[in-house]
Amino acid sequence: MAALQPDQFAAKMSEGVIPLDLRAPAQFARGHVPGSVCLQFGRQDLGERAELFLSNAERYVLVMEPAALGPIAEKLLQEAGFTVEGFLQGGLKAWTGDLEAFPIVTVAEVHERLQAGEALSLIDVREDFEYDYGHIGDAMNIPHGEAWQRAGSLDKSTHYYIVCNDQVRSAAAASVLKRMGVTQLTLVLGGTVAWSDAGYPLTRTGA
Amino acid sequence: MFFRQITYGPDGCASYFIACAKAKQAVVVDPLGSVGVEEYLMEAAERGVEIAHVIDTHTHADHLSCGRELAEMLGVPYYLSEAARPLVTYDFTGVNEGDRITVGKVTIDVLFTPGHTPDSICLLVTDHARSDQPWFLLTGDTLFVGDVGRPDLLVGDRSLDVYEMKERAELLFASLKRLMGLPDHVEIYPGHYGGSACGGVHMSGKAASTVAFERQFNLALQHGDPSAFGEFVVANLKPLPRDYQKIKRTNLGLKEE
Repeated sequence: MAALQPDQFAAKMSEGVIPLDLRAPAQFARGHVPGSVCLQFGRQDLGERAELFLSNAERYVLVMEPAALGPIAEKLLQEAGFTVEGFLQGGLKAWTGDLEAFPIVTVAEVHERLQAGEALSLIDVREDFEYDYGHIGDAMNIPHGEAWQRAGSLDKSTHYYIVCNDQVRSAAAASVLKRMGVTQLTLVLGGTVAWSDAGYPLTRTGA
Repeated sequence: MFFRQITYGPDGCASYFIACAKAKQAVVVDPLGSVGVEEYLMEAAERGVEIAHVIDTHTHADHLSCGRELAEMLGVPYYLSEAARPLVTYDFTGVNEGDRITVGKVTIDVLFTPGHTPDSICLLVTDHARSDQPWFLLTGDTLFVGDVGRPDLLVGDRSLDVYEMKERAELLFASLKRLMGLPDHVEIYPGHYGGSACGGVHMSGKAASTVAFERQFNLALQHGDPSAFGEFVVANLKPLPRDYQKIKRTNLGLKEE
């Protein structure tokens, strides 16, 4: 267990170690260490989800709140075979450097803007079978685990709206795209579940 | 809605984690010192919700609460019945009959139900995403599955006990009668189950029931007047919880352990 002070944490980042933020997506969107990747904590499945989403060839440092859970998260990831070099002591509150944030939008606003004829570039980051069953408008599909590879093919001058079923995978994918240089991003909080709950129609692939 | 009953088997204690899945906000009720704050923090972290409110249904006499610790750590309100104000040495957010705590689509209405203690409340929970009808009741130590709260856990100091056992039994009778007026479908989630020493010998090991089932089959609720009820309850108690006076005083903030 390595508790890192903000300057030690920043030094790791400058060596290329990836900051991994395990807080909830809404908290991540409000403010995070620049360049962080967002992957919501989970006692049962953190390691499993990390394997689907992160490279085990990279090194990571963690941001977790409450900070008391930092060592627990570190252990879970190490057990899954990841190289974790510590966590930010005191959590994000202790961070003294700059913070970045993600704009967020509700499904109601997305619906309104699409209805008004605006051409929103939506990226649905669920798996293909989920996307095929029903997605918003003419969203494109990039499963969140492929965000690392496919970021390069995206147009950096376009503003993208990132969607999943709720907000865990969309925040994860958006954080990766941003780290890879796709910077104009908005999170659609609540995702396709909130969209369906509001009574808006989904597009079925091939229909 | 997220709902999880978090229990501690050796003491037969139950606590509750309730959250609105959309608003990503949670309420924790009667968090257990023996489980520890980390469990509640982890539950919130892995569901991606933030704990916004911490409530204790009364000042407990059988186990230590970690409610204050959790609320202070997170910087969120810690609620007790306003009736606890003269009893405890620390500050809290007081709630009264009719107060409502809201997280997204979920509302929690406070029912003042003295009897087991002078500061006991029950919490009536409604998930408006499902229905505007109440869904379940967190009964604290007022009503258990198969049993009712005990009126005899006195610390022997009138200013802290407020009521004698007989008065407590009468108040408990009135509080329970009121709960039995709730709709049949309302589920009961108690603060204790099984071998817990906080109730009588008929307490079930199954920590969930409904108003209709308890109204019909809970033996303590089959009495028409408070004195017959009081006699029945006292005749069917378990031994007093070990160290209950010490625990009660610690939960009142009178003694740190």
